[in-house]
Amino acid sequence: MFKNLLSLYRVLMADIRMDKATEKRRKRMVAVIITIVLLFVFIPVMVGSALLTFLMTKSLSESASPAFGIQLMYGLISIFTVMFGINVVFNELYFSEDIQHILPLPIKPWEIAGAKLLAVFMNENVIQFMIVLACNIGFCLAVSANPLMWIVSIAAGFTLSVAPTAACAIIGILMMRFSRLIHSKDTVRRISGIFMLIIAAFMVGALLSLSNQDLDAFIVSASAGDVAFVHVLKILFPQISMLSRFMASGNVLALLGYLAISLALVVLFLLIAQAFYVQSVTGLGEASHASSKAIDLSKTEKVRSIGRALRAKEYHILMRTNVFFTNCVAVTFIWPVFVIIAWKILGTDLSQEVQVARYGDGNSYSVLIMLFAMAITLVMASMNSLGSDAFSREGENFYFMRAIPLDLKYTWHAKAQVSMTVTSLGTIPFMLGFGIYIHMPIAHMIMMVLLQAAAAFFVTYLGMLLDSMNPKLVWEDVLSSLRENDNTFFCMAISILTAVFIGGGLFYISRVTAMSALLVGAIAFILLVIMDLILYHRAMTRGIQNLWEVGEV
Amino acid sequence: MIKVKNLGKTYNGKVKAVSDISFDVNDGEIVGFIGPNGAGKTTTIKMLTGILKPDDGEIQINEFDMKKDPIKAKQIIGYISDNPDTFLKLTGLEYINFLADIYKVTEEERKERIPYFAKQFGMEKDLGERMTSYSHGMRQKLMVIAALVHNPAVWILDEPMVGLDPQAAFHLKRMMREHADKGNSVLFSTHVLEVAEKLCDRIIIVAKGTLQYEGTLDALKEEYGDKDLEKIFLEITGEEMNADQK
Repeated sequence: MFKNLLSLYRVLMADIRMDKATEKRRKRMVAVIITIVLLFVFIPVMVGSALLTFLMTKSLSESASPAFGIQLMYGLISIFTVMFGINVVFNELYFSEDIQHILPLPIKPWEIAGAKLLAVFMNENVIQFMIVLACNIGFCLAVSANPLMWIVSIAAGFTLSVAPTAACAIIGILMMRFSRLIHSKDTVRRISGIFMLIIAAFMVGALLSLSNQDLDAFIVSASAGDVAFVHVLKILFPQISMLSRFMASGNVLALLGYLAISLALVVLFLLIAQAFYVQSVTGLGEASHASSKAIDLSKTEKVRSIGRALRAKEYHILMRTNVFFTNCVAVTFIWPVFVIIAWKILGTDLSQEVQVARYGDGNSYSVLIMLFAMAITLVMASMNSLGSDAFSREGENFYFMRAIPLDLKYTWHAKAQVSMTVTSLGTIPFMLGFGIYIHMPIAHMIMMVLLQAAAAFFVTYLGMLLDSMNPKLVWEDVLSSLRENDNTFFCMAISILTAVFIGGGLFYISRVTAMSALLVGAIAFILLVIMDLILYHRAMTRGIQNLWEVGEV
Repeated sequence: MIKVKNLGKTYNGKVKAVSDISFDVNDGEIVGFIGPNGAGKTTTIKMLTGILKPDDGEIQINEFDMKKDPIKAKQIIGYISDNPDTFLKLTGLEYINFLADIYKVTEEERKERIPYFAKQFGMEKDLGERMTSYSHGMRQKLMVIAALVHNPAVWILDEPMVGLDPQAAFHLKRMMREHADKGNSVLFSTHVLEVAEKLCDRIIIVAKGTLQYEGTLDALKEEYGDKDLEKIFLEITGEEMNADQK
């Protein structure tokens, strides 16, 4: 019954995989990066999640709702699954280039949609699986669960993302089939973007409403169902309450209820797919264009320098491709909103009077601002993937750069300049504005800008170097060049680690030695410049060689 | 002029894609590069255009060695790849101007060439549109215009006729002939034997990465008696034997 579905699923998964490095040197490099990411990112995140759940469960063990902590974790994981899932589901079900090759095959619509949903589920939820596993371990340890409970709860945890992913897919198909508003891929992308924003706004609103409560009062009222955020979570994801009830009491009926809801959503999705998927996917076009009209060709030619031409090409592609614009450009500019929200949640007084006094008064706050400027640039430059996706986003056009009469260094520099410019524009003005707001001394502001520029350089060259080793040039849709590109993840992990080590280390040293913010900034700047020089040298030698080796073996 | 001597390329240290191929494309000549799928045509063309580095052999484009002087060699090549889906978010005109900038084409030359080529290929009304809205054929026409905007002496075209309508194919063939008649060189790969028959001064047949025949079509026909071109091709490339065995 599921033969076609599973065959297609295997093909889709094989297509998603990145090419493995074949050369010894690259294999070794990839192994080193994976080890670093595992040791310093995955394991700490898993241990942290397990510990958090363990502590929450322990502290709730005497209350009426000992499983409230894990229920909250499940709820947050489900929200994130929906938030990122909606875009991925649209992408896989509707924008993927392989659709035109799959639709003519004698396969039923539910089999196609089912295979695609399964591929999304397996590919997109790896991190969720690991966090859920960690949470369940923390919970089982806290309640001293018996071996059977351990096995069942961990197995059930792996299915946590099934219901939210299926719900996203159902919404997607129904929207595509029945909405008259949707005519093109671009419109769909905008709508899914708005949907993500709505969910983000809901989360932010919920978190803001929690900021004024103390934890004990929150737990008591939430357990009683009096907190709107938790109440909405229960309505949106009823299966979570059932799973957590099973975790708390071993109630088998609750477990069966949880599995039944997940299964029902999958079956409903397959039925809807059988009825509507083909109608909704055919006839989907690119954005409509205005009718053709002649342009005066003799007036439009402008001669530009090679560097300017290359940069203009990069900007055109980034600004005109929705996926790149939202994931690489726009994302660089939205972080201040989240920082302000975080401050609000923490109850920080942002009034100018207080901020000016804090900066001028305490040494640690000025050091913190200086290091924050560096850290946020490191994080945003890696999050926007402009460096780590620089070559992968070329896709099939990658080989073009080797055919033109141009040293590959020009192309490298053009891409690096675009990445650094966007990152700098997205981070430096905000920090400068804040510096002016808090009356930061000019010398501090100059140091902060230098630090941010050095950080942008570091991440850009690191990302490009990683991407040059093994770019993901074969992708079915534009989003895949980002999401399925391991280099973006590696770059993000290393950048965050750098921020933690340099930022955390220098902050600690400054506390011990009472070092000034300016000196801390200068040391961080020197460290980054040293790393920048090493990376630049590697980029211009090994990186360029890497670009020549792509497709050669 | 293109001079290729003992060219070789092995992928992954195992798969020999091209082995010891040598040929010349003289000034004033159109040479057809013919072979079945997987024969090594595209690999050879990629080496000629500097996209791939050969493991063995030498490539000379006019007076420039592709290994020693790749930038100068590439500057005089007009290359059309087998995939016209390139930088689709740009408008046709932006793409042409991008290449014109890379190849340092002056403003005066652009003003003269772009409208001329646009008219030849019936693209005047479409150059302001983004290439995402183009059909496959229109993209192919645009690739031709963009490849020729710097007036290259040597044309290397990988399956240039694929997707072109009869009118555009006619114009391209005429332009290839005119270009060669001015003393320049044209090398193009094709599967269509009739095109090669009508257009080429000489043909090169490759199969399994090795050169099987180099010479004029007349000499080839003479050698094989009264057989038609298709049969001769199958015999040379060993395809006929495979078909019989199956």
